[in-house]
Amino acid sequence: MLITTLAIAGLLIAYIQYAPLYPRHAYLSGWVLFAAMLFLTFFNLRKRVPFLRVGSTGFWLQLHLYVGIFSGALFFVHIGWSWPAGIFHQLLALIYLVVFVTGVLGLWISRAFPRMLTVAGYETPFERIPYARSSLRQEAEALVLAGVDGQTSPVIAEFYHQKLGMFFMRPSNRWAHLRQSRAPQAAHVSQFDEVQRYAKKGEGEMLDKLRDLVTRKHMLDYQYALQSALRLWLFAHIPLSYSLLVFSVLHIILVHAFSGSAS
Amino acid sequence: MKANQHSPVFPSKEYVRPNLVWECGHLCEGCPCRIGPSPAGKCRATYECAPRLEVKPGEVKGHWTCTRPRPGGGKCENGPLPDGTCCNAISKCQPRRSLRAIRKRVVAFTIITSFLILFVGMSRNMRDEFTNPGPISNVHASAAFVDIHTKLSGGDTSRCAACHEGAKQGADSWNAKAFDAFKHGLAPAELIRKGPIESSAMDANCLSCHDGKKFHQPNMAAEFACHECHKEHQNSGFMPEVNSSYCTSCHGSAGLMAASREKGVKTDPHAFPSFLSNADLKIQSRLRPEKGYTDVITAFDTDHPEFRQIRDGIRDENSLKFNHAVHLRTGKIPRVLNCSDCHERDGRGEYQRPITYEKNCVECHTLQFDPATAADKDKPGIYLPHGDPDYVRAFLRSLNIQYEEYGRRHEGITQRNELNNYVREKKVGIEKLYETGENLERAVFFADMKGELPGGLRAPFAGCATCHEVAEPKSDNGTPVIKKGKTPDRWMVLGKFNHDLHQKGLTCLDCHKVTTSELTSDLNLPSIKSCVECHSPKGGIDNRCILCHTYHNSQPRPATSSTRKSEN
Repeated sequence: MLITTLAIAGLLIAYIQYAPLYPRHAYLSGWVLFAAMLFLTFFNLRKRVPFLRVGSTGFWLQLHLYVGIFSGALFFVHIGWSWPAGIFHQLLALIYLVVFVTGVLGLWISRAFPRMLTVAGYETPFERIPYARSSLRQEAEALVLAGVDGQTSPVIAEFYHQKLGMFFMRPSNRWAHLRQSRAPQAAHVSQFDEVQRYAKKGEGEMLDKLRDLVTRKHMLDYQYALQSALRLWLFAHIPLSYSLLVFSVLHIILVHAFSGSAS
Repeated sequence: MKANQHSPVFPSKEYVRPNLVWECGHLCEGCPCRIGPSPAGKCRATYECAPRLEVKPGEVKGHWTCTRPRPGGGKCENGPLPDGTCCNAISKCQPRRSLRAIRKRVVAFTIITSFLILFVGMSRNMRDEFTNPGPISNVHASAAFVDIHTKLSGGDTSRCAACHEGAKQGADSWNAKAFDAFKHGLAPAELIRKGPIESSAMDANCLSCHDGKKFHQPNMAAEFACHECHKEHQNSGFMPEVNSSYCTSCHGSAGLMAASREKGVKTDPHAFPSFLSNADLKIQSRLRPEKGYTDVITAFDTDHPEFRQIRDGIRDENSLKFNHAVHLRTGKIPRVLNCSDCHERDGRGEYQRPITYEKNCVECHTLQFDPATAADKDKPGIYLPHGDPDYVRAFLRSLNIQYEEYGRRHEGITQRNELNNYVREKKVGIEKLYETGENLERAVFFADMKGELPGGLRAPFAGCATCHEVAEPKSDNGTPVIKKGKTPDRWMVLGKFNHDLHQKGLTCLDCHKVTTSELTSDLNLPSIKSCVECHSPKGGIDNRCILCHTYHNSQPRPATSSTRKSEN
């Protein structure tokens, strides 16, 4: 990171000091930026091409991050710190910014979320979450069905049917979990406390078990929400990276063909 | 969240393959089938097992055995149906794409969409607007400009083609054009080359309207592109003002300045555009500096050389005698003068109008050789003419006629006798003062401010020598020679200046230290240091090159005998 910071500082100083002396600096910064974008876009080739497997994945990921951050400074130097005006160039700049911002967001997510997931507990591999959810639902349904004997009050069964049935069926409260909000849990606790008042003595234990299952489902949903985010930011970052390359190629052709240097 | 919950337990032998394109539709319910969808995304679920027919020795028909594997629950209790079909049919599902497969499709969709956007944007009707990097200045966007270029380009309606060569041949040639630029003007080695962008084919299009390009100095290392300084596609109003960095890209480069210096030595001096070509401007001619104007300058406030007039100690060669200090000193002259009493600003507020005797000097320096015929409220008085010594001499030698004319016009004398008496009376008065006509003439020409003449004589009149250099006549009966005064209109002709703008907050004396100047040869110009006090980042006032300098000089005039003597 220190090297990246120094590189950005060096770039900015060089721009302020030497840009007037080098009028083609925009072409130079453009080519370097394009090379950086190629590197950033195809960095995962390392995983696919056997002879490229030099260095660890972590090393290449770090390199991806640092080159990406450096490319941000290079982008602003390239556009001369002013937002372009034409349709095509605005689109190009916008795509770059979205890719850059999603990249920064992804960096933050990939650094912060794993720690949050570990701290939260009940860690579950993303692909196993449906299975875990199904298990919880089956346990909850079995618990509730065990209490339906025709003699006991239907309060718990009704409660499950109205408030918890859909909750156990699918992932819930995704945005609340991403915001680190505990409001959904608090709502369930409140509902449980209310039902507790109407439950008979023997049903208390069942309610406690159900409460435990709801807590675990919340934790599972928390895992699902954060792990989804860890995957979904790539849905903007990766496709737009390719789009950026397509636009960049046309940009390069345009600026060269329309420069005064073409005969 | 509490961290007191252990992770859930999973069947360890069940594989999860998130890298597959399809996943079982029952996955979201937590119970995917073991076989999973086909690679084409078809559900392959049938039964939980394929029962096997076991025929024991002695049996004819044999019996069907469940083959459900242990991870799937092992052998079922009911076993296969009599016809050999598994009793546990798996419900069909609608397989779903895996997250990774969806992402691949989103990538493909985005790439296709990008190409579509570009395809539509680059269509003939939208191409110009789509690829235009910014609004064109109002002059280059005008209908008149389009008309001119439509004619010049032979009917090409693409407005880009008016300037850009690349646009003249359609989009299919852009690749070749770009490659051409990459090989030549924008080759990798060129990108790190110092100095401005050199002139190209695009400049020829500029020149089709803006006639003439050799408008800077002929010792430039190369012809530079118009767009090096004039940035188009910035806004729809005026083109942005030229940034000083474009000037210093040459003038700040020691290499380029050395090359220019070398080229300047070999260049015919008459090829340099001279300020003498401005016929309306009177200036004091001087030789072009030996090195030309090739000092390395990176900023006005740091290394701009001192003004040449001060650096080279140039003196005003005007033959007129003028003492600023006396004219501005209280008690030395009849009334206290201000700068603006003599120096009147021109219509644009930039420079001073020329000083003339009739307008600025006559009030105090009257050419009144006869105190007895002075002006009063009704009569103008009789004065010598100003301007030509021969006229003065002729006036003096025709005093009879002059007095007679004055008497007739201004004294109202019409009778011949009275006129003769009037003239005689005046001439007696003159003779009392000057004794002879010869003395009168000498006094008029040679008397200085104190009325002293060469040879110790005195006169009651401040003659021509008060302000002018007067020499003895070249022949016996000749007129004394008065050297014509040449007051330059301007000293700093390579820069422009607006006095009006500087008057806000400054007085003339803040820059021009004239209260101590006693000689005409004093230029009284301020040093660059006094300019830098304000025109610097510290002073907070704009210090761009274009505030004073103009890149485009007028075309050099054909060399004439007068211009050969001097260069700027």
